[in-house]
Amino acid sequence: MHRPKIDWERAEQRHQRNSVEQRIFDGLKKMIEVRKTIPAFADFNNRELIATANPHLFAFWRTHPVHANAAILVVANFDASPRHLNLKELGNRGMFQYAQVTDLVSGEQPALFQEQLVIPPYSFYWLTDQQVAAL
Amino acid sequence: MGKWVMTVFNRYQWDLNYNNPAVFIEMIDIILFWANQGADIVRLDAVAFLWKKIGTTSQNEREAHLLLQLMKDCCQVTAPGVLFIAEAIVAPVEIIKYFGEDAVIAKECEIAYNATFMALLWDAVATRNAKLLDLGIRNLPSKLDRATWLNYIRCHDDIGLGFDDRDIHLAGYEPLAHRRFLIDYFTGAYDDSPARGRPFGVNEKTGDARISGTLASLVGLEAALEADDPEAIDRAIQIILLLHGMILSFGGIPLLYYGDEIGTLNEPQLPRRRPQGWRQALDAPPED
Repeated sequence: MHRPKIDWERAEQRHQRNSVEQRIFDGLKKMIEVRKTIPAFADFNNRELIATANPHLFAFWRTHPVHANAAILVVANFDASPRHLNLKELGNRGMFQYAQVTDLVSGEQPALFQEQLVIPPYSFYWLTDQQVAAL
Repeated sequence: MGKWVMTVFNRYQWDLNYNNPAVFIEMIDIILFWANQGADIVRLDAVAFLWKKIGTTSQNEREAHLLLQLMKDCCQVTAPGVLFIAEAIVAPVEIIKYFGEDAVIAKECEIAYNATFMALLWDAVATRNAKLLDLGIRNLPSKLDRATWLNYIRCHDDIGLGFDDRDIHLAGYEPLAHRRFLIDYFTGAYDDSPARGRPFGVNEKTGDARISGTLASLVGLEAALEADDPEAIDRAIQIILLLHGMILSFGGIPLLYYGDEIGTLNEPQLPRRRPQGWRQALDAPPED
């Protein structure tokens, strides 16, 4: 049941713009490509969970063992409604306080509402507070 | 033969008895054969079940760890580049032991399936919150520096809800009721659920079960496509990407299961595991 035969016709659909297959396949490819450019994602036991006030959010730091400003803030919203993360909750690291943050997957700067980061339903961000060159 | 054999997983799948040194030597020979073929990473299946002891559950026994250490040692002196993956879908405090209880370097397996993270991610999908996910990861014992996780959303097996009852309590749920909710949710019995999983290995006494299904069907893509509901389709795709966003950033090796990259749905007509007669397999023409 969960070990299906590969359906090659459906697999071909990944080339069809806006098909379900294409949206998933290209979404994953993009994430894999971006992941490769993020040194803080390498495993050095460098993950710190963030206690957020919002139970719908799962958030953690991936710190870089050498470069403090290479830290990435990962935040996910599992709820069906948009949820807010107070950037001030992130502790006194001095990071992500002033600068505009950028989501490395989309390359976009997510919406802020009164210093609160807005995470859309069923979405996640891989955030940096550094200037990003377009990938 | 007139003797008993133990078959934990299937009647045709006999368990090995490592009490017999010849068995161990043969297994080392097989591992080193693959190392010689150039295998960089060898996955050791069901390592928790390596050693059997009458009167116990025969899981996570100390001798299982000793055998793995011995296998690692044999590999270290002959093929030191070869890494082991521990496939041990057991409780968090037990999983961690398959790295080998040492300060830095893995004495047993360098990589282990992160079954805890997997199950917790599914909890977050069903509850739409990260309470248990956050707690469960906080309470995940720290691992060695020279070892890493294999992070996955689902794999070849069914999804077991293998998190700690104490954590379920701390998250504000009653363990039995919460597990029942999760099973109802993923099998679609719960009203609000678009999931299309099947219960597997139901324990009639405890009501406990595992869940079988593809990622796409479990997050509602199958139901959404049938209903031809564009919003529900978007939602399912979002959740598929969200879950991958987690395993790709958690730290470790992300495991993408075949078919999930194109949203493959359940294939209900296939039996879970097809018994394979060896004679039949040898006689059959190669599949193309």
